[in-house]
Amino acid sequence: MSKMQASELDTGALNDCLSRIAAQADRGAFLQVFDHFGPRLKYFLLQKGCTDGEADDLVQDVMLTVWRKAKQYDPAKAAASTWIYTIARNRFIDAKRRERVMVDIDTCPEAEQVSEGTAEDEISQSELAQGVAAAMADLPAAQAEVIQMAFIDGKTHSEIAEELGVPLGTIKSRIRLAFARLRDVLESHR
Amino acid sequence: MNVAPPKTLETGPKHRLGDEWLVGLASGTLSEGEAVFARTCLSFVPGAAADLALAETLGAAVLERAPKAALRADARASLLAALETAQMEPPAEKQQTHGVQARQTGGVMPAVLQDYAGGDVDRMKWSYLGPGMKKVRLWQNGEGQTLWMLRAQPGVKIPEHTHEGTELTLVLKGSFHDAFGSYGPGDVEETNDSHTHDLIIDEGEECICLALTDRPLKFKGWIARAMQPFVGL
Ligand SMILES: [Zn+2]
Ligand SMILES: [Zn+2]
Repeated sequence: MSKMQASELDTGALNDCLSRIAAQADRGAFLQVFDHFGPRLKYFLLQKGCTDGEADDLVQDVMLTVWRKAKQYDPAKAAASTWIYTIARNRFIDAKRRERVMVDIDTCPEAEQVSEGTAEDEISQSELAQGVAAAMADLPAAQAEVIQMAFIDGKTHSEIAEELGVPLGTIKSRIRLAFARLRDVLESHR
Repeated sequence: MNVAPPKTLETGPKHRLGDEWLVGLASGTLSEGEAVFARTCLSFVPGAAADLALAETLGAAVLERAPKAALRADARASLLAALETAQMEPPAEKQQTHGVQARQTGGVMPAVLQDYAGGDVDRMKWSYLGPGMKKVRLWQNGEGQTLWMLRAQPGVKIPEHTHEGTELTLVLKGSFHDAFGSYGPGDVEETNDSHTHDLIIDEGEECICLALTDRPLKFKGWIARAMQPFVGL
């Protein structure tokens, strides 16, 4: 991944860390995960409006959840980065009490399927994550901007429209176009 | 596989939510009512859980590209100290459902909506909305965004109205049609302030819908306006 720094954990290394945490309660592996995600999670939480102290507390909370649930992580169901992302997102939502009823903070992403699962899809979640990351890096600037504002800044589509001064319909279509590229990535991995 | 479901499987509803809703769910930016609405819609869509997982993978990719913010100086030490008392949980025997779940048969309301509302349609406290129509409100926020259900008898006509904001209607049971098309179970109709419509419930069976409205509906004409007080949405 060209965009990553030399010291970063790649997808494989991250999965490896999680399995060492699960199997041997490996603190060294855990600290590697923490060093990789902690500062980014903090940025993510600050952008969403947490205070400095709240962000530090939530990062610790997310990382403790990663430790406690490490044995429940299933690499066949989600890339490690996706699993950690969803824990952080759910913790954030929970803290804000926005979706309290609907968010099940205890689960790993992608558990039970709708009518047919990814179970029979012989698809590597880490490869998919790498493909998605590459597609994200290649998005046209206008699409990438909207995706960033949604995920990092936690802005609603209307807020994004207002901030960029473009119609809501344009924001929606940028997101749809960006997502269509991801579907292509998914198809190419099947 | 989602791309080539067995022939016996439905291909799913013809009128669906746009993919921006997946991004909304994955990024945690939807209001509670929007999230319930989106999850209920998705429970009719084959492969929706995989789609949501794709959106979450996108979230992770964005997070991976995020700048770093300095953590407090003792962050590592306090985390290590906290590990001393943290219990590791055993591997989950059966993963709990996350995000999107299968619609499940046996009721009118998909499982995700029953979980939220605390039961199926016959457990709801329906109130009078107009001739042949009942409503129940599930959720409302301070800005007037409302998640509610409509239960209408066959053949009922809902008078012409406009919307100040957006109205999204998901059919759970039965069907209706208006100038824009016809809608059956799993179909979502989106209308906004640029259109006026009247809506006719098809003959044959009652129609039950889940609706998400931004603002109260505005009815045109005096009979319709007389109904407004009952609407209370
Ligand atoms: Zn449509
Ligand atoms: Zn309407």
